[in-house]
Amino acid sequence: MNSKLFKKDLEYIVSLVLSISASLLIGALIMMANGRSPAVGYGALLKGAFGSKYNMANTFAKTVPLVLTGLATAISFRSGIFNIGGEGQLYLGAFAAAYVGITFTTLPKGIGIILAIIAGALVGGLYAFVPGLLKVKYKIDEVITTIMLNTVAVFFTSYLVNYPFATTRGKLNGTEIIADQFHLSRLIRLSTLNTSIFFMGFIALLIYYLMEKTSTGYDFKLVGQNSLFARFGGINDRRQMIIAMVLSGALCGLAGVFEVLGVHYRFLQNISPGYAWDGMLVALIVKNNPIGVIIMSIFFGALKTGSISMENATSIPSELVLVIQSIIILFIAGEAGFKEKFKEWNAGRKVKQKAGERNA
Amino acid sequence: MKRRISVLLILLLVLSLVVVGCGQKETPTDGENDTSADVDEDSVEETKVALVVAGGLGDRSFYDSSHEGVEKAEEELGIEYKVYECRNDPSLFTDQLVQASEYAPIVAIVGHEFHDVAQEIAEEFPDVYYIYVDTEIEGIDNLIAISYAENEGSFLAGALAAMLTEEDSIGMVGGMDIPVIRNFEVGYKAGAEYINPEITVETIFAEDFEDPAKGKEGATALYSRGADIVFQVAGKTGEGVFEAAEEMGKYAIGVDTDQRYINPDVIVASMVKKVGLSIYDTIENIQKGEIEPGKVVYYGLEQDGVGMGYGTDDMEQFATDEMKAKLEEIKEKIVSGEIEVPEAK
Repeated sequence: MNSKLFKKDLEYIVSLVLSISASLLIGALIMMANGRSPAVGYGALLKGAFGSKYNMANTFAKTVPLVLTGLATAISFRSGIFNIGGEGQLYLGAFAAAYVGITFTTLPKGIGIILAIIAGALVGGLYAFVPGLLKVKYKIDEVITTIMLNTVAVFFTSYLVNYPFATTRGKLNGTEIIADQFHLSRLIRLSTLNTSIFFMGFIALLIYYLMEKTSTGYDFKLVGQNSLFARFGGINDRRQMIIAMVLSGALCGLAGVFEVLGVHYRFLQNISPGYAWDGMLVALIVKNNPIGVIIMSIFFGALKTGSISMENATSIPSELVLVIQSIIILFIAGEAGFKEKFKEWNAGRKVKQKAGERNA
Repeated sequence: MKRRISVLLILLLVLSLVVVGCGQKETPTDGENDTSADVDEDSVEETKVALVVAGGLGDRSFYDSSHEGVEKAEEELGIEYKVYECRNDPSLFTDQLVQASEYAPIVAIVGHEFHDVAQEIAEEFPDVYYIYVDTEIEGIDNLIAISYAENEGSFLAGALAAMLTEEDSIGMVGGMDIPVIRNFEVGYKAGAEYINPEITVETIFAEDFEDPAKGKEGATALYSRGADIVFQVAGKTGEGVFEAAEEMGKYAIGVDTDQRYINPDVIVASMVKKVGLSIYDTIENIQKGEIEPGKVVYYGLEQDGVGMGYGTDDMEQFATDEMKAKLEEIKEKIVSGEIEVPEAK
C-alpha cells in the first residue's frame, strides 16, 4: 500500500476516534449535569446494544438499512453527484417490493424474493435516473431535484397505501401483507433481525469491490474529484455520474425492499424513520469509505438499540444519543480545521523548544 | 479577542446541550430500584403496567390522555408503571414492545401503528395482558382491543361547529389521511350537515402528528378560505391550529383531551376521546378478573367513551346552554339509533 495514503488514512482514523471519544465525553458531562452517573448510563447503553444474543441481533437489524443507504451516499458523493433523494428512492423501492409481494402470490419462494429485490432496486434506480439525467443534460442542480423528489415519493406512496392499495383488514395505513413465500425468515426470536443481513453483506462486498478494486470505481473517484480533468483523461464523466446516481438509487431502493420483506411484511405509510438521512451521516463521517460505512453503521445501530435500553433501564432520555451523534458530526466537519490548529500549535511548540535549546 | 469569542461560543454550545439534555421526562419509576427484593414477587408483578406509545408524550392530546389513564391507575389502583415511547420510529416498535412485555404483566399499547407487531408479540408472551387502543383485532386470547366511535363524538363536534359558525364554513385539520382520522372526518361532516345541509366543510391533512408548524399552515389556509372554526385532529400538530386561530382571530375545536385550558379564548370546546379512562377501566377489570380477552370493547357515545368537553366553569362559554341541550338531544338520538352516523373504514 502507498505509505503516504496510508498515513493519511491513519491520521483520519485517529481524528475520528478522537471525535467519537470527545463526543462521548460531552455526553457523559450532560449526564452528570443531570445528576446521573455516566458509568451507569453508558453501561446500560453497552449492555442494551451488545449484552445478549437478542440485543446484538437488534443492533444488527438496525445496521442493515444504514449500510445500504450509507453505501448509496458514498457511491454518489464520491462521483461528485449528490443524491439527497435516498428517502424517496427507499419509499418507492419498498412499495415496489410490497407490490410484487401482494400481486405475484403464486411464485415459488426463491424466485419471488429475487423478483421483489430486482423490482425495488429497479424502481429506486429509475427514480434516481431522472435527476441524474436532468443534471448532466440540463445542468439542473441534483441536490434540489432529489430533495424535492423525496416529498413526491413519500406523498405518492402515502396516497397509494391509503386508497388503491389500502389493506381491508384492520385500521392501518399499509398495504396487505405480502404472501408468505416473500417473507425473509427471522434469525433470532423476538428480534426483527432477518436473512436480509446476508443479502446486505453480499451487496456491500460487491459495492466495495466495485468502488475500490475496479477501474469503474476509479473513474467514479476521478469524476468526483475533477470531472473536467476526468473528461480530458478520456472518461465519459456524464455517463459515470448517471451510473453512480442509478446505483445509489438502487441501493436505497434495496434498503426499502428489505424493510418490507424482512421487517414489516407490508408497506407502511411511514416505513422509514429517515434511514437515508442517517445513512448519509454515516457516509459523511467516514468520508465515503465503503468499509468505514459498515463499521460506522454498526456503531450507529448499536447507539440506537442501546439508547432505548438505556432509557428504559435508567430513564436517561434516548435523545442523548442524538446529541452524541450530532457532536461527532460537528467534530468531523471541523476536522480539517482542528488538524490545522493542532499542527500550528505543535510547530509553535517545537520552535519555542528549539529557541529554548539555543538559549541554554 | 477572536479566541475569547470562540471559547465563549464553545461554552455556549455546551451549555445549550446541557440545557437540552435537562428536559427529561417525568418517569415515576426509576429503573434502578424497581426490584424491591423483600416483597412477594407475584404481588409486585401484578401491579406493574407498561404503556407503549407510537409517538411521544407531551402532545397534550392522544398520548397524554393514555398517560393520564395509567397515572390515575397508579394513584387509585396502586400500580407501578413505565412509559415506552417509540417516537414514530417503526424500527423501535418491536424492541419497545418486547421490553415492555418483559417488564410488566399488563401492557397498554397506544397507536394503530402497532397492528402487526402487537399480534406477533402477544403470541410470544401468552402470560401478558395487552390492552390495545384504537384497533379491532379479535381472537387473540391475551389481547383486549379497544375501539372508539370517533365518528359519533365528531358528529357532536361538527354539529356544534355548525351552530357556532357565522360564515357557514368550517374546517378540519387532520394528522394524516388514515382510517382513524377519516373516521373523525366523516362524523364531523355529517354532524355539521345535520344542523345545516348547506354548510361547507373542508379538510386538510397535515401528514404529521408531531409538527405544530404544519398544523398552523393547514389551519391558516382553511381560515383564509373562509372557515371560522377548525377542528384539529392531529395530536401535537394541532397546537399549531390553536396558534393560527389566535393570530387570525378565529376559533378552534380541540381533540382527545379537554383542550380548552390550552387557550380558552379560541378553543370553544373539545371532542374528548377518553383513551385514559378506557385504559384505566381495563386495568381495573383485569385486576378484578372481569375481562373477556380476545374481544373488542367499543367505546361510543353510549359508553361515554367519546363526548364533548367544555372546559371548566370559570372559562367563558362559547357554547350556549341551548346549544348544549341540542347536542344532548343529538347524542340521545345517536345512542337510540335514530341518527345513523356514517363510518369510515
